[in-house]
Amino acid sequence: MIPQEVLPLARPSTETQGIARQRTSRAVELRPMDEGDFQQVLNLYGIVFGQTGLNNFSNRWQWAQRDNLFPEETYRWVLADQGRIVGFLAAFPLPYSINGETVVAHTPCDYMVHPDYRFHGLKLMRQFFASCPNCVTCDDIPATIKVTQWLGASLVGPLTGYSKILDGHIFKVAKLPQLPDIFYSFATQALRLLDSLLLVGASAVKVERIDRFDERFDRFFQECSKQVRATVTKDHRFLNWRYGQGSPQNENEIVAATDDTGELVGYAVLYVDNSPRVQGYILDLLVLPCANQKVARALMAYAVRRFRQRGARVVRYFNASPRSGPSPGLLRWLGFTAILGKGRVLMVKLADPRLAAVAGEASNWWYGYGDTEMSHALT
Amino acid sequence: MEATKPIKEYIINQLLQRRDLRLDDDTPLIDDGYLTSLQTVELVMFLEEHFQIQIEPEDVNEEEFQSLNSIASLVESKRG
Repeated sequence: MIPQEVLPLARPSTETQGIARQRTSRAVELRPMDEGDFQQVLNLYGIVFGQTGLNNFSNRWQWAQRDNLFPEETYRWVLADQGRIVGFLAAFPLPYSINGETVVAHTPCDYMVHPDYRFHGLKLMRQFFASCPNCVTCDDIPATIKVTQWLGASLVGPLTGYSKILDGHIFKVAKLPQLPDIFYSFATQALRLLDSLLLVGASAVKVERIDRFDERFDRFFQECSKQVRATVTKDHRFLNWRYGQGSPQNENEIVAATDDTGELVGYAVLYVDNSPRVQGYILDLLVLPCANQKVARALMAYAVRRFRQRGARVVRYFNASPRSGPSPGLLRWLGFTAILGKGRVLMVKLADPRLAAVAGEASNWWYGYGDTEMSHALT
Repeated sequence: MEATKPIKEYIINQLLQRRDLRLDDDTPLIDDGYLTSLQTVELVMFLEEHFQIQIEPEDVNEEEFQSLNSIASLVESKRG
């Protein structure tokens, strides 16, 4: 979830003379969202997160309204002060496979509270946990992590993020002293040369782009879930919804690694955003646990080549554990570096204690960028 | 109330980190924007540890946390 507790406004001191802040009404009510609230929620989004993400939010909204796997179990609440919307939270359900059982768990999404009403945000989170017996969430905001744990979610563990620079020009966008363009070009060529050496031999596994997720993905997921005990249920129905036409990341590439019979041994979903940094995201990457790192290497190598062809300047990837993906050693070999200090953590709360015990172990999880609410914020 | 002083000190020195701040016992902490949801959770954790009490999520509302006085009253009620 991506809540934003904005910087504190100037607080009134009993000693200072000056502009008195308008005191908030105590009649802040929590209620389900009405259709007619959408414009106010949109306005609130702009206040809390800024104007740049508004289109994205609106598009995601349309997606969730029009194309939802569990429409009856999607909840949205608002905080209202005398008709004025001052807070919002959605509870978005996804199917999970936990220890071989299918569980619908909610993720708190788009938590936003007007700066003058920040105390009342607790009402939204309390309502979430009162309404949703099962919760899976990934967050990097310390405030949210603390509140979520206080309300009963258990900390599973950190997600490790990795990045790989493809183009030296990305440093022109960063807040660094600017150098002549020839330095960035030289860095880019050096990185390209390095990759040509590192990726040698990575094409031993057949990897190709495909148009859609077909029934092979069901068989593939069945095999994976025998050893990956906690994950989003990634059958072809889910994947076509998650990355299909209506998805915020519908302009993606699906890449399949297959064996001699044409059956899947791994796949990846690649996406390039529209930001000035031109970032490539490996939204999803899953390989058969029994397959060796050769498949993971082939998929990663393909991804790096494709991202470079599409002009991406950096590749981003993260997961909860390397059980069904590239190992940390392989990632380092391919030129990825761990992103330190981002603090993304996975938290869960499950009503069934047996399933909670399984989901509480980080090593049981396959959880990647595309599984999180954060990926929905990609431009 | 006896509990008011340590609560005030914690809020000023630890939570808000504003040693120059003066809070009256009936200053409206929520309405005046002093307590965010995170700060309230941190305050609850402090109250539980310092006073060896248990505060339920339903206790955390505008009435109980509106002022130092009301928070101290909550603490006293939990102490029994």
